[in-house]
Amino acid sequence: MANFENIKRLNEKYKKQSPIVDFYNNLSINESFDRDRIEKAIQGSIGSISPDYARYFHYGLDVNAALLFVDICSFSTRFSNLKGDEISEFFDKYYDLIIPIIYEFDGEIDKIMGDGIIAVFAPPFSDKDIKELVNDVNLCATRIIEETKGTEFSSKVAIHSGTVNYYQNKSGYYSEYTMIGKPLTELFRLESVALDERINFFVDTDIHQLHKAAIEKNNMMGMVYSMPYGSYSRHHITDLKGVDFSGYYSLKV
Amino acid sequence: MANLRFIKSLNEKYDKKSKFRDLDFGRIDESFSSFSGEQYRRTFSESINNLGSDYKKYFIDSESADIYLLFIDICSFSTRFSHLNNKQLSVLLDTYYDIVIPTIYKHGGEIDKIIGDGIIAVFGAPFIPEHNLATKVNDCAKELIEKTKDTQLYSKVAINSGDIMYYHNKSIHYEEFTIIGKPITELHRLESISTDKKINFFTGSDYDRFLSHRIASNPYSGIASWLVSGSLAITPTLKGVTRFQHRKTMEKR
Repeated sequence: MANFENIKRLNEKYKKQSPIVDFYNNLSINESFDRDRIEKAIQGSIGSISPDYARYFHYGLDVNAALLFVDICSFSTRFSNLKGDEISEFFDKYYDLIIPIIYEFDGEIDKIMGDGIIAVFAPPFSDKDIKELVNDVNLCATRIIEETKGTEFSSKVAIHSGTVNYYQNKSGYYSEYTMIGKPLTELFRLESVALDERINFFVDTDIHQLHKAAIEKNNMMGMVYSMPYGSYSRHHITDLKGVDFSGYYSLKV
Repeated sequence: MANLRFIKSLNEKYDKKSKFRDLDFGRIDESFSSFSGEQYRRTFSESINNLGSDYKKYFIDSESADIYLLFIDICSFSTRFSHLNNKQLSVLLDTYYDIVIPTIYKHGGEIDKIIGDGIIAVFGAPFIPEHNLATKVNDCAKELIEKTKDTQLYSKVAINSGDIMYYHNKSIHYEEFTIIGKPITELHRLESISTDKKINFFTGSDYDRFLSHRIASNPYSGIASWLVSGSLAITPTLKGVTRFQHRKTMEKR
């Protein structure tokens, strides 16, 4: 998980209703901008945001999460000519487009790595059950593809779900949470083979279940655009390290 | 690049001599929270300037840097340790970090990102001068493999190099610098097909040339105790990797 201060800043900038913002603001007032003291206070009291925050961040309970990885198609190649300020401007516009969509569907930002954004749809950020979260991540991915297709921000999306944990890296006063678990490794691998301008997901997963009826119809009729979501292609996985799935689907929205 | 505050924390924890330890975040935080954007930018620039002229060149003026990147992660981490609870995982990862991070520091590297068991390190500007980078990353990688290979933390290493840029989002993550450029994409892809307990690199890369030159110039040097194998075809084709078609590995004899 990202560090909480970054989440707070994103929540503020994109006007997301979030208990983290209130929590931080209260701390800032009490600790008079002394960052080290704020960080120390955070480590001791993140659980006070709500019992769920204590459960998942202090006690490290398993989290049933839906995950999303979006990045711009061939970013390094297509935009290798951009200079410092141009890249900043480009990314700012990209974030202004993508992050509000993620927030709209109740996701939270886990990591931003240039054009790559990983979002988590899970407790304690959302109180929905895994079925609803999978539905949210799917709708979010669909919207992202719709909004970016054919534009300079043309992207690909990988979505997945499973059990993860939030692990706290304890270094000095800096508290960074990182998600750990097989689904995250699988998400990274899926992104590495994901098809441009498509939603990509593994076979035999909750997300596959969500699309199953449409996929079966698709198989009967071939690649037809009248499907509820779009048209599906199945891809065989030959050698993806750490991935036991036999294949994945890409959905052209 | 990683979060500057995170670097400072790690430098302090592992007792690395570095200019980051003198960074005054209290002053930067205060200007970010209290003053105008212009005032904050000035304060931030001054703080970066105080680190040295190279930091200004790469962090403020966004010049491209020719660096080496190293990605280390524990082999099959999610599968092999899925039975551990959060507390046990924390102990395991803390042990791992205590081995890996000081070794990276010893050879002049800096931590870019920690993603669970995955650690990305950067060797080069502005952290260390641009000469002998291949030697440094090579010594580091070999020591990492040697230290972990007969333990439960056995790992794999991927090495790549090239021109990157440190992207800095001024409006949200003011202390966060993200490496962008083809070499980082290639590194992630290489890691996804890397062989356990070995150093992995692309055939025809700078590192490959460095090793070939070393072997040719002194076949009886220390490198003789390491066996270079290759060249393995990259199959399936790795997305975003256009410079290379094959990879090699190096292992301890």
